[in-house]
Amino acid sequence: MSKTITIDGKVIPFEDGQTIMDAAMAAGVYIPHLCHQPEFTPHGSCKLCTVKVNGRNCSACTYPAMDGQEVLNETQELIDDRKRITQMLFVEGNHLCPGCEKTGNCQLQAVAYHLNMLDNHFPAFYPEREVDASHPEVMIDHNRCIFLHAVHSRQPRKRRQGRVCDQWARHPQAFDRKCRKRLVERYRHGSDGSRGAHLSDRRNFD
Amino acid sequence: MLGKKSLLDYLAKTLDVAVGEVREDGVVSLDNTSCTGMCDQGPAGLVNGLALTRLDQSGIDKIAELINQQKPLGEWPEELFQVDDNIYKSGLLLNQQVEQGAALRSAFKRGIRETLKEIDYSGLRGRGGAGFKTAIKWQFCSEEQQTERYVVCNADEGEPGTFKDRVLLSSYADQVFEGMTVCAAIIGAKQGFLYLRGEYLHLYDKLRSILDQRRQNSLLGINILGAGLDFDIEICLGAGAYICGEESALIESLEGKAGIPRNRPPYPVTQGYLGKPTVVNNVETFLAAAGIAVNGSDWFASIGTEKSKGTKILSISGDCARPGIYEYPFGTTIQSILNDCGADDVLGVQVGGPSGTFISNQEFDRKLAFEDLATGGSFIIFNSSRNILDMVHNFAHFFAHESCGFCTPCRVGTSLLQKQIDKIVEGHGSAGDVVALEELCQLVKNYSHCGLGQTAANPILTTLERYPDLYQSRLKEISFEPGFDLDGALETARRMANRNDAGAHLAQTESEHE
Repeated sequence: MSKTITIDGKVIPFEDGQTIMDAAMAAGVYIPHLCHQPEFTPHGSCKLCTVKVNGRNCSACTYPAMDGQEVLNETQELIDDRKRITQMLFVEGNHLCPGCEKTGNCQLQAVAYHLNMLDNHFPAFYPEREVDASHPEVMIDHNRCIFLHAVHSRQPRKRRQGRVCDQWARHPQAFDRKCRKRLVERYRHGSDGSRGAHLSDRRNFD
Repeated sequence: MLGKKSLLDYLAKTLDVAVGEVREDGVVSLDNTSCTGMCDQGPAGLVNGLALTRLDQSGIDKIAELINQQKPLGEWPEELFQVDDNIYKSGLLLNQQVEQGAALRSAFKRGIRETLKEIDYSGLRGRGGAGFKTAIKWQFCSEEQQTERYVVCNADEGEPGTFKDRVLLSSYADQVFEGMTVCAAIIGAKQGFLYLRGEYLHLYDKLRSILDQRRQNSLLGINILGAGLDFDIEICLGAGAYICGEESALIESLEGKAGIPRNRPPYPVTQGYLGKPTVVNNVETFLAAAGIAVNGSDWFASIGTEKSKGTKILSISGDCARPGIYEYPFGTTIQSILNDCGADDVLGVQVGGPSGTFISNQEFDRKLAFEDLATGGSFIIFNSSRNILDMVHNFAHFFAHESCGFCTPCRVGTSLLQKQIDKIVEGHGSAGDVVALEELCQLVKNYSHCGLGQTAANPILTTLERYPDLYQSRLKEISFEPGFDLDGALETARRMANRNDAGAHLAQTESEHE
């Protein structure tokens, strides 16, 4: 008999070494998340995946699953607070969905819809952030950054590794497809050989 | 609290440099700093990392002259850098001067396992504020499979209003190192670190020479006291981040990385420095452990309350006649502490620093203890001339500045708290703003990654609970929400149009027109 946890009363099996998020994903239970991506070492910074474990708030993506854990995921309190945390991410940067070319294909936006976020709630920061188009092939639009990648991971149970940066070094092509924040936009030189930053041009590598 | 604002303005004027700027000739820059651990001899400053104490106008004149003459710091008069201990009340720990090596000799004589038992029976709990039982932490670490283990002394005393570790390291360093070495013997560590806050640079050379002396006396190094223990201590200087007082952020910093708290589990006792089992304790904890190793558990456990054994060393500052170091048995009432340090007309006390609790003058019968008022040592007194909202405003800015930026609720939340407090304090708050403030406090508290975020809202929550009317009185009696200062927003237009007549001003609300 394998070990199990319950999420909102539903019994879910897990294997040693799995986090609550690993177990939930394997069982098809959705816990809202942004900084978690199975290919990367867990980060635990966005706090959207906060669940109640035996009455205590924990990040599902970093907290180890343990036999008999009672996990609460879809309570009204958690749903409301996750919405507020998402709103925090929206007001902190410059996220203007209607004018953004990623609209409809954006995890931040998708989470906001999932949580029924209808306004910003908090006053917007309107930060002045620069678009860095100094590189011939890669550009970074900091306006859309939600600070998930900036820090190297520190889960000692796996080999210490950077997140995005290391992935980039090892598999630059894969990185193009997997940059979750779509911060780094790659473009191909124009047919006339012109070089320039095309913030909206992602057709070439999707 | 001691006229810093006017002194800063005076210094800026004397040096002819704006706050936050570098002077044109590049010789000097001037800026604000958070607490540098000199609250008993403020106003204080730092010059090239060295502490300046008891600043006043004549001191500033002198400093400005030295800077303008471009005199190297080594040639400045010593009295500018003089740091006093200011110990006003000694108890169990401060009264006893353990002879160099005495704690280690006792521990080896008694036996290492037995010494851990003594520390267990003494009931010693961590002195940083959280109060985890020291013997359990050491035991866990000693039982880990990995044999490479580390001892870390947390001397990143960053909680505003705390300075007792400065005094302990200045006058009791041998005992602190001795406590670390006893710990190393118990857990089986070969390497220890003293993580010293950068603002205590003035202690660095002194501490290093004490370490050298201990090496010469066979109290550090190979085969300590012939008992077969190999252990040495290295001093690492912090770079001024408040967050590095959090043990896992401190370990990151020791490893040469940015100070960002780790996810837990695993805890440092299983995977700490370089992923190896690590004990991190406060300066005062190691001092107490050395004392217990010499005197046994009863010496310590006979004092204090049932759940909080021994004494607590307080750093008392603020509105009182004798700011300084005071040691009290746990269970002492706040009132008797206030009597000792000469505090009258007290409005309230911030116990445990900004991340602790603000208590009003109706609660002075409360006691110093883990089960009542826990504190890492900070004790800031406010008399009735002080404005509580000014204090809250100051602390909100402190946390927004010190948040490490790792997790959303703290990174964004502390900035939002700062904005919301600014709005209310500046008189732009309306009906729902205090409710919104409280909701935000709960979010930051419940969802943040580490202790910084989880306690960042404490100054607001503890004062909201005690003085709700104070907050309400700052709100405007209007139902709509003025999202910005209407008249303030016109300032640019007025400047461009070069006019400042009545017609160029707009009131925020109808009622202000009347």
